[in-house]
Amino acid sequence: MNRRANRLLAALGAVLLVLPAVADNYLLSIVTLFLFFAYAGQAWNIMMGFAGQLSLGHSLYLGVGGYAAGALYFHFGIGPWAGLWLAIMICALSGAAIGALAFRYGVSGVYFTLLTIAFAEFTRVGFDHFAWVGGSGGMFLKVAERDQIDLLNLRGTPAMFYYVILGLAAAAFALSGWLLRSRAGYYWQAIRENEDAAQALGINTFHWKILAITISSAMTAIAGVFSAFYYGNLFPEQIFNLSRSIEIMLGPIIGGIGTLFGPILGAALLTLVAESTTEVVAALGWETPGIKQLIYGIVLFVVIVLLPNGVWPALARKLKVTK
Amino acid sequence: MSALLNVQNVSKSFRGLRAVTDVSFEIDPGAIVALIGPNGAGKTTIFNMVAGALAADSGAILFEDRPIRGLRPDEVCTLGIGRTFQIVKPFAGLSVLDNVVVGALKRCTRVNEARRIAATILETLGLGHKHDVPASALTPTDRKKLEVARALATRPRLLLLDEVMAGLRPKECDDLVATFREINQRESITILLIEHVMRAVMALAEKIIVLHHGEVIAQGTPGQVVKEPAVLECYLGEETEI
Repeated sequence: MNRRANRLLAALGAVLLVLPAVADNYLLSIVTLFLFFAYAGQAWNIMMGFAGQLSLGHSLYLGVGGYAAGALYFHFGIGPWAGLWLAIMICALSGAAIGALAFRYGVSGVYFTLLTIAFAEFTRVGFDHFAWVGGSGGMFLKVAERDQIDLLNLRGTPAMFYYVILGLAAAAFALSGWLLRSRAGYYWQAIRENEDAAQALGINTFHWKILAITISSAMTAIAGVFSAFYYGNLFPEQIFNLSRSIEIMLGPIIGGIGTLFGPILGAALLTLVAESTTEVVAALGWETPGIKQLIYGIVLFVVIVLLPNGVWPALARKLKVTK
Repeated sequence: MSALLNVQNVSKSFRGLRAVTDVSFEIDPGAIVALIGPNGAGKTTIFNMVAGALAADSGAILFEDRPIRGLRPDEVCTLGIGRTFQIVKPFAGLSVLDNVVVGALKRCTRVNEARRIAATILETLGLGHKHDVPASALTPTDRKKLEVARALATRPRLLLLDEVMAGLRPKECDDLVATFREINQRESITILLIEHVMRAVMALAEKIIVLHHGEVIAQGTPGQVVKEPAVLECYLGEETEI
């Protein structure tokens, strides 16, 4: 990161800070969605991008986190800022337990990935039958007054939600940057690049991989809490769905896995592509079912073929923001 | 004076195939010892057992009188044994400096300090001008040097070098020999090296252990070893020029 990068970052921050003053609620909801995926993508990136452990089951932490805080609010009226800690704790423990199980028995690579899917899937099935939180019928949090801000209970205007997720995304960015430059960051990258060599240099790879999955799942839990209170409802079929996990990782993949800014750029591009596809399809009056998804898929395909390392490394060279 | 590394009656089989049989040797503190022998003699297997990458079937391995057989590679490294890999394993996506920083973080937890240590070590090995180059862009020779730099950064008391001279030109080989001598004397790091390049072995080693079919057939000073009929027959006589 050089001075130019800092200036660009400050400009982006300033634009995002004043956005609610000029944007309508529709635009704000789109940017909120972008920031949500920027945040969740950064959480996933710590595990895969930094430490090289591919999780395709991050919807697990999204769902468990959302349900933990949601159920506390629904049943006991305990606000999300308190519920958040329960969500973080449960998800961090689940992540650590899955990691311990996998890494202790040498489950790695694609088999580890399969394990992450399996845990997310059977938790989804479990929640389908978990009557206390509504089972497959879902759980509905008290409807919010959309014009009053109740930050304590995370109920309020779109602008409030916007600033909350903006703060989270910014905090995740700062945390990622700090981690990447710390001892943990060096060790994770070493493990990602070559685990045998990392171990020969005295790195307890088990310990550091567990740390990566724990931080990543704890961060994703917060995304789950936000999502639950933003939408006000939770359905196992949606929040635990495999497609959720894929959505989370598309941003970092398109933006640049393992880079700091990649997950944010990727989330922005994907939101932009999705929204503009909707606009274009509507403007052209195409009614073919699935046409949006098709266009979206083609755009992803082109980006991956042209820029296999993601958009950010190429863009960073163009902007001259890397060393 | 007790030995720094004491390998006692160590054996290892792979699915019934005996790779190493009843091997014993000692390495004194401060020594430079070479482990030589034809391909398939079991040299790298012994390295892997000392470094914790493979578990020995039987026997004992003592480092500074502490049994290390069965420890994990990271535990062995923490105790003070650094190793290189015969087939190099660089952190390809990281810069040369960052590769060595990973090793240096073993001895100091502060990243800034580790970067300074890493820079000094790269200087010693003649990679000082390549800090920011990605490790994947290095020549095979430089990759070998990077292996050594990374292992040295962990500040080992015993350094295991697995064929780092292979493929080097004579001049490069002599330079590296000089570097190892310097490391050995200045930082009193004991060195055990596997090497086929006899030019390097003869210049460096004060003791040579000759392995053949997984067994030690001779050990002693270079002068003694080259006179052993068994060695001449199985190894030196066949294929090597000194």
